[in-house]
Amino acid sequence: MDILIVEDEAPAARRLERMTAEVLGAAATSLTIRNSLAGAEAYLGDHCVNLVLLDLNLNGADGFELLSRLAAGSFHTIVVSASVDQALRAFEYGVLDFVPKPYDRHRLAKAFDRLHAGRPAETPGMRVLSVKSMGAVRLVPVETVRFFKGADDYVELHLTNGSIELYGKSLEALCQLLPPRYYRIHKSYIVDLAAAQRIHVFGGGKYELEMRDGARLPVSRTQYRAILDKLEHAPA
Amino acid sequence: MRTPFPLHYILNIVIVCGIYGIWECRAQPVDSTAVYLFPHETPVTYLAFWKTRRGDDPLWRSPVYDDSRWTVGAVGTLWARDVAHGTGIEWYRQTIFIPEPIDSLRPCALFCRAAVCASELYWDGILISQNGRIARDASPEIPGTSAALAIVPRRLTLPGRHVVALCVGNARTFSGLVEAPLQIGYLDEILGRMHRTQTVLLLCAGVFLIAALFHFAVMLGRTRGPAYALFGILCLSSALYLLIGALVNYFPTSLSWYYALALINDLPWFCMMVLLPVFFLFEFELPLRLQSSALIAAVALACIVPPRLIMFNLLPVAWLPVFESLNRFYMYAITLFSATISFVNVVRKKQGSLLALAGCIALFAGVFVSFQRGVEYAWALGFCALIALLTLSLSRQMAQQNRKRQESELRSARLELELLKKHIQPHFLLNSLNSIIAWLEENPATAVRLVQALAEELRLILQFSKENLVPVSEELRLCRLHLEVMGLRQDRTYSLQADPAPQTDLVPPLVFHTLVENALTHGFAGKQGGAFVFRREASGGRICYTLFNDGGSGDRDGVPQREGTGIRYVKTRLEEAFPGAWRLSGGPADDGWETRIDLLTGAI
Repeated sequence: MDILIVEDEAPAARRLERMTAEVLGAAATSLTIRNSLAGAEAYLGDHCVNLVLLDLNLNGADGFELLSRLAAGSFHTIVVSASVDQALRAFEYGVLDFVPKPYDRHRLAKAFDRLHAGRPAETPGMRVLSVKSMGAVRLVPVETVRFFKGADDYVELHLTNGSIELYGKSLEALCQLLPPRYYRIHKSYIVDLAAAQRIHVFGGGKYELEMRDGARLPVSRTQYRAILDKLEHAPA
Repeated sequence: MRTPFPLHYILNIVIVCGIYGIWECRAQPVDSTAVYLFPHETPVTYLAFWKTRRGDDPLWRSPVYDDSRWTVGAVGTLWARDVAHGTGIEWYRQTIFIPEPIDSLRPCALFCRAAVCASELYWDGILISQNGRIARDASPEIPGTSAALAIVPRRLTLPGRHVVALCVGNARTFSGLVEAPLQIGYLDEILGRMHRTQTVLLLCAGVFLIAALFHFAVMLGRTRGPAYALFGILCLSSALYLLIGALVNYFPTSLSWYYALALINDLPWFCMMVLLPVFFLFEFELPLRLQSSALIAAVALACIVPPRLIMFNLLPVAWLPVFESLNRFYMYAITLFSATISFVNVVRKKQGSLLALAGCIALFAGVFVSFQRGVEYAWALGFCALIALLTLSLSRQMAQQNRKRQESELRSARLELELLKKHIQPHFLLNSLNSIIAWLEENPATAVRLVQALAEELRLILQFSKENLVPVSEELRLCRLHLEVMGLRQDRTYSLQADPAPQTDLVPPLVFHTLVENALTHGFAGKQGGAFVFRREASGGRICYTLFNDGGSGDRDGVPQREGTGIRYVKTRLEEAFPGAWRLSGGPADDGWETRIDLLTGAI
């Protein structure tokens, strides 16, 4: 796993590097430190990383501007910061975890566990998706997405206005960040179950979920029961 | 704008003299000693003019006696015609015509407030009242009392011509005197009027007394300007003056004390006459207050003292009318004087002046009605209105002062809180703790230095938080501590090179600290350290501080960022400490950034 640490205070950056190496061991194939926003973006332009550990008040630049740009990348982001008042907003932008400073090894290890377990359940989940189009980053509110469709390492965002945007993370990674009402109904689809109408059952193990806006999406055979349960128990 | 000072006075005096002259010319005495009595139409008639003669003769009481050669005179005149000062006996005669029968069920009465010292009253030659005993044939004088009421027997008030004869004897005091016009009319009407007057006067006295107590009580509670003390004494004097007058009427007093009482009553009267204009001088903070007050006191003395000297035969009695006019003139003058001051301040929109002007107008109306219509209590009512309005105005000013004090207390509390919130933010402390942990793991000695620098910085900030101004040298010490903390946290080297600043140089707390903080936040990304240079230049009543750093500034890519909370804090504190006498500017300079604060030193 290739990891980038973005932190402007050198001793703190060295400690984070040290501790990450200890916790992840051989899993951390590379660890890089950048102490400024510009340096971090330059590095990301040339290198592919799996995880960014980010201090939000980076040199005073608006951390969220940076965060929205980083969130458009294919990698997960874990915020390591003393500005705990910004944690909720960070989760809305789609970070995997928020580690408040000062932290210990145990807390950091828990954050790395999220890479498999997903975002902490008590957090609200992301509300905006950073989409990079033609070099600029645009924020797309989660509510304006009709459904998410996986396409290789990307995700197609099918928007209510009919257009389709490409989102940089994989469907697996996205699934870890979205609020709980979003459900992966098929290996290639995530929908908002609150917007689902009913399930059509065809012969031969073929199922389709009809959405309120008329879209019909395939449901995997293994998920059929679970989705039916959720729809029945969902408040009308 | 300031009106030239003496103009008020001159204008005032000219106006008052003019108006007063016209009134005095109009108010010629009515030369009549015969009165027609119509009690149905005029329930009470005043007998102000009499035929008078010094000496004593039993015939003078007779209705048929021919008094046509007697002198015509008004009551209220002192006797000073013979060598033995004003002692002796004087007769007053008055002819009264009753044209038609009088209501037989309502008795008529004559009321004489004071005839110094003993008197006899005859109606058609018949003695109807004796007040004290006149000294005759070697029998000594027994002084009468004030407020003598004589009921005229009903059989004597038949239609036709009647003669009232008043014999006044004075063997003891300096001068004989009939104080006020006698009143003749229905008994119930005379008593009713007397009671109404007394009640109004006592009511006014009560108002003055309460106002005086209020202002004295307020004065005990806090330090106040001289205007409030003056106002308290003014109210107290007014109350005393009215109370003494009213008590003499309520409790008939021996007339041998007449002049002594008059002297005692002159004291509060003098205070009133002086303190009213002086209060306005102080309340509206006019220039030359003490000199003007002395002048007013001198004029008041000149008006009040001579009549008393005349009373004791030290000045010719013929001057009395002149001084009485002067007294009335003075009363108009101070009323108009106060009104003028109020009016000028109304024009200047000074707080409380409108109420004061309304009060002055009320007083003027009261004085005017008192003098021109002879309504005794009108001036007291006017004065009462003035005092009430002034008390209201002063109370409002006090409320406003209270509010201002509370606001300023609140403001300094807010500044302190703002300072602490801005400079001891949780993320600053938490980041520092995180750095301390990092250094503990790498190099504990550095961690110890960081903890010490941080502790010292926090101590200094807490100490500064309660101050409005701190010495520049202390502020620079704080900057050095902050640079040390941040240097250790970022593993960079920051330096601050500073011109020495004298201990008398003061700035609001954390102003330079904030500028240093700003520079650290914006300027030194990707560098190994930074240098700060503080310079101080004083010239021509102006001090200029510049803080240079070799890092960047608030603007990235040449685009200035919007004003941050740091700069807002600096501006707010500078404006609090040096209202309008500061300037803050900044810009790129020599591969770095320079911030400059100019202070007009006169403001410190």
